[in-house]
Amino acid sequence: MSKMKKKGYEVNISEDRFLELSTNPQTGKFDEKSIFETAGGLELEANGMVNNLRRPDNPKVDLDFVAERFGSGETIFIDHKGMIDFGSLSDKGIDISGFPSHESVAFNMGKDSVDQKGKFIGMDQGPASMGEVVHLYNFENLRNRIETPLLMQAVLNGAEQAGYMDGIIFLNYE
Amino acid sequence: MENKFERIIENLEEEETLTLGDQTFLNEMILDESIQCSILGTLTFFEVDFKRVDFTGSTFVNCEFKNCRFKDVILRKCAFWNTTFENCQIERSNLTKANFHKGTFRNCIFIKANLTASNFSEFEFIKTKFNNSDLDLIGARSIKVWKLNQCIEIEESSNFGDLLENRSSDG
Repeated sequence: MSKMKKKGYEVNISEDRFLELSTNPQTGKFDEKSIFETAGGLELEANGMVNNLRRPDNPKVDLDFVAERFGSGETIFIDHKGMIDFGSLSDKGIDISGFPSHESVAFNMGKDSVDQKGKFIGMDQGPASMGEVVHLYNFENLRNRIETPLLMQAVLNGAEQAGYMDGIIFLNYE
Repeated sequence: MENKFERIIENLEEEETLTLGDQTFLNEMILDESIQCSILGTLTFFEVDFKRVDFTGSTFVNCEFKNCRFKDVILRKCAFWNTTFENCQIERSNLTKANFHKGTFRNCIFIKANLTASNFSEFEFIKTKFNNSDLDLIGARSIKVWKLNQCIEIEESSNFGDLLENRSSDG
């Protein structure tokens, strides 16, 4: 929460709600990954894009959050994707020359997301269409900020190649 | 048994994420560890037993698992790049929403594993079996499935699990 306050967001959340959002619906426990997802989801809420962020009621709908779009009130399902940074390995002297580029990772994330948007359609309390599923790409962990515009474009290119470019939101790209 | 991997985990600072590369682990047993969101690159695991290890959200790049056993292991939301599994047994493990890109499962067996909503691209399955596993909503792109020297190539599928189930029974 302190990170979000540093970014200038007004954060007003009870500890109970934070714990509820950070509880992994699959395991019933809160964990590092769920906390990272929650921080991303709450940033969307804090910057006025969505309201009433919560975990899906049906755990079979394996998308991270459900919320209402600010303004229209339309229900949307949000899947949070954190961009990986291999720089943390090279910092430790590990050779990453044979690794995929960050651009290639971002491209595939964008491409795969299109298939993922369709997976839970029609499930009880799930999305009714691909238009209700939003992928949130969080660049929080990316240290070389110069890469960010390139990676955002790579995500869009991947989605375009897979044939569906709607429902993409970028976070922490500045 | 030395358990070098467990020692590395135990030496992590509180809240430090495991970042590890260029190492080989041989004949080890890793039990009851939580190492979520780890970044693991160019690691070889040979005859390593993983039991009740939580790797949720971790990234594996250029890793090799040979003759390894996974039991009650959580690989949910993990990303695997150029990672291969050979002669591995994956039992009662959670691979939901895991992403596999460019890699292989060769002579592996999944027993009561959950692969729901996982995704595979540019990936090969060679003589790999799935017993009582949950294979719903698996996405696939540019996949080869080998059985008895026959290969099926799948360009794209959003219901790949059906094919895996049918192909793996006696492969």
